[in-house]
Amino acid sequence: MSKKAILLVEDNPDDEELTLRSLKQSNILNDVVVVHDGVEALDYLYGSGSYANRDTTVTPAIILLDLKLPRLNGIEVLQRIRAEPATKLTPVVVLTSSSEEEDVVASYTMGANSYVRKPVKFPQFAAAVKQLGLYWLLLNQAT
Amino acid sequence: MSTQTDEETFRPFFVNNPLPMWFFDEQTLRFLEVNEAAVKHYGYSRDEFLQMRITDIRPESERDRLHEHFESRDKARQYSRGWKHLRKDGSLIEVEITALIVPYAGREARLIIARDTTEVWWARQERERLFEQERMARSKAEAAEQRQRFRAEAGVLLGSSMDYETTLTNVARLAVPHIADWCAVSILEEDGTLNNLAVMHTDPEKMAWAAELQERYPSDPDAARGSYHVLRTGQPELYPYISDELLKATAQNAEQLALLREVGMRSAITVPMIAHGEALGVLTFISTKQDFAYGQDDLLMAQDLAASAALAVENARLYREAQQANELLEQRVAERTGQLRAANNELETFAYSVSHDLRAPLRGIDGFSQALLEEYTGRLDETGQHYIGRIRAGVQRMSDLIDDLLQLSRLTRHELQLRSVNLSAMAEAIIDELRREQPEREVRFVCAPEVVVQGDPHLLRVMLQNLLDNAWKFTGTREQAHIEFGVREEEDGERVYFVRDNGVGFDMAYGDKLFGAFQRLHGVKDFPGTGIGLATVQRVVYRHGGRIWADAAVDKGASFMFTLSEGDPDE
Repeated sequence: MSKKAILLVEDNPDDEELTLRSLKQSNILNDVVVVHDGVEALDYLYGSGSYANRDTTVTPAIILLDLKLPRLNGIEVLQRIRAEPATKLTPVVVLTSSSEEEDVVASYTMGANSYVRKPVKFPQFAAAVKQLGLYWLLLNQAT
Repeated sequence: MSTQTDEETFRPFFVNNPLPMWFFDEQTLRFLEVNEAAVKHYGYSRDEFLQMRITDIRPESERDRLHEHFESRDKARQYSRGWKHLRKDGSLIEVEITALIVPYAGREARLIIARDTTEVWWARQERERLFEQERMARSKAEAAEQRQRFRAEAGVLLGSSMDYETTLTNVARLAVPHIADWCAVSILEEDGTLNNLAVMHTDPEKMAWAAELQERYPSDPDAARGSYHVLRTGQPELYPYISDELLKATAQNAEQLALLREVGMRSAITVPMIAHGEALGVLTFISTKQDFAYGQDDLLMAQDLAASAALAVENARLYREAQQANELLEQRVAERTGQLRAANNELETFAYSVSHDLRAPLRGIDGFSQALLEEYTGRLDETGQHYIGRIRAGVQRMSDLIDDLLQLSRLTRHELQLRSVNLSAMAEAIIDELRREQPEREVRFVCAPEVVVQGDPHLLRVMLQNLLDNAWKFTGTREQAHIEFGVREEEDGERVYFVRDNGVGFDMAYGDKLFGAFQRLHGVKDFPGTGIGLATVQRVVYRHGGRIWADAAVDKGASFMFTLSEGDPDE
C-alpha cells in the first residue's frame, strides 16, 4: 500500500541531505517531497505554480517545516496551512536551528503540532511523531 | 425805674470792665464815653476818643459793611463778630461786638462792648493752616500708600508668571487709575523699535484712540525726549507739569498738537526698564488730573518698578531660552534613544542571524562528519577517525560558544518579570541535575534553607546555573568537593548571597578580568568552558540592581558574592 508523502520544506541543502539520510536510516519508506522555500511549499500544497497539475486532495502525512525560508517564511506558510480547510488538520513539525523563545512561541501560536531542533536526529524525530500519534503510520518497524 | 439810679449802679461796671466799652451817639456816631480798657486797648486817650466817630476806628474796607449794618440793624440788643478795628498805631484787630441800645446823657445812644478776638482769629487761621497742612500730608500719605500698594501688587504680578507680555499688561492695568490715568509698557524689539505691549487708560474708549494716535504718529527714534530718548540714554524723564509749550515742541504738526491737547496730559513719567545694564523697554505713566503733579517719590517708585519689570522680562526670556534648549535636548535624547533602539534591534536581528546562520554550516560539518564515521569506518584508519573526532569536538565547542553568546544577548533583551524566587530550591535542583550527569563525583553541597528573593526567575536560574556549574567544574580535581550556597547579612542590613567552593580557585591578580566575556583564567584542556558564564552572571546581577565580586586564591577555592536590589531593580 502506498503511504502518504512527507513534505520537507528546507532551503539548506546540507540540512536537506542530512534530514533525508536520517529519515532513511529510520526505515521510513514514505515518499519525501522536498521544496526549498515558502512559496514552493504553498504551490505544492494547493496545486499552483510548478505543481499546478498535482492532485491536491492528497495531503502530506506530515509537514516538516523550516522557519527561516526565502520569500515566504515558515511562520507565514504555517498561517496559510492552518487557514486552508484542506490542510487545517495536517500535522506540522517545525524545524529550527535555534531555540529562540519567540520562534517556539510563534510556532505553537500558529498551530504547529511539534517542534524539533535541527539537525533532525532519529530519536528526536521519533519522539515528535510519537507524540503526534503518527508513529505507526510513518515508521516501518524493523522486525 | 430811675435812670439816674441805674447810671450810678452801672458806672463802676462800665469804668472797671476789662473789656473795652463805649457809648456812641446813634445820630452823630460820635463817642460819648469810653472806659479805661478801651483807652488802653485802642491807644487813643479819652479826650481823643470823644473827638472821634466810631467810623474812625474802622479800616476803609469795613466802612461799607458798617453802614449796611446800621441800615439793617435790629433795634434790639445785638451781638455780632468778625469786625476789624483800627488802633491808633495803625494795627488791625478783630473784635466781636455786643451792642445795647441805651440812652446816655439824654441822647439816643448805644453801649458797645468790644472783645478783641484777634488771637482767636489767628488761632483759627493757624488751625486752618494746620488743617490744610494735615490734609496735604494725608493726601501725600495716601498717595504714598497707594504707590506702595501698587508697587507690592505689581511685584507679585511680576513674579507670578513667565508670560511677561500678559504680566506687564496686568501691571499696566493695575496702575490705572490710582497711579496714572494712562500707563504704557513698551518693549524693545530685536529690530530696535519699541513695541507697545500694553496701553491702559481709565477710559476704555480712549485706549483704542490712544493706539491710533500712536500708530499715526509713531515716536521719533531720534527725538530729544520721550520713549526712545529714555531708552537710548537710560535716563528717566519726569514732567511734573506739562505745558502747552512742551506739547507744541513735541507735536509733529497741527493735527497732532490738537490731539495732544485733547488728551489733556498734566504730568508724566517715563522710565527705562533696565536689567543688567541693558535697556529692554520703557514704562510711561501719564496723569490727566487737574492740580496733580508727579514728584520724586513717584519717579523713584516708577524706576524701582521698571527695574523689577526688566528683571521679569529678562527672567522670562532666559526661561524661554532654557525651555527651548531643553526641548532641543529632549528632542536629541529622543533621537539618540531612537538610534539606540535601532541599534538594539539590529543587535537582536544579528543575534537571531547568528543563531540560525552560524549554526547551519556547523550542522553540515557535524552531520557529514558523523555520516563519514558511520558509513566509512572501515575505510578510515585510527588517525583518520581521530581527526574526525577532533572536527566534531571543534564543532561542539563552536556550538557551545554560539549558545552562550546568544544567552548573553538574550539576557539583555529579556524583559524582567519580578516575582518571589526561592534561590535555595533552585540551587538544590541545579546540583541534583549535575549529580545525575556525573554520578561518580563526590560532592558535598550545603545550601541555606528558604533563601527567597524578588527577581526574574529565568535570569536568576541562568545566574545560579553558571555559578554552580563553575563550582562543580573547578572542584573536579578534589576527592571531596565542597560547594555551598548561602546568604549573610551585613551590618547595614544588606543581604549578601554567595556560592563558595573548595576548588582550584584562581589568582586574584586577574580578578578584574573575571567578568569579561571570553575571559578565561584556566586552560580549556583542564577546565572546558567558553568564558562567557561569569559575564552572563554579572549581567543578571546588574539587571537586578546588585553588585558582584569574588574572593579566591590559587588552590584555595573561590567565593562569589552578590547582592540583589530589594527595591526597584533594573532601569
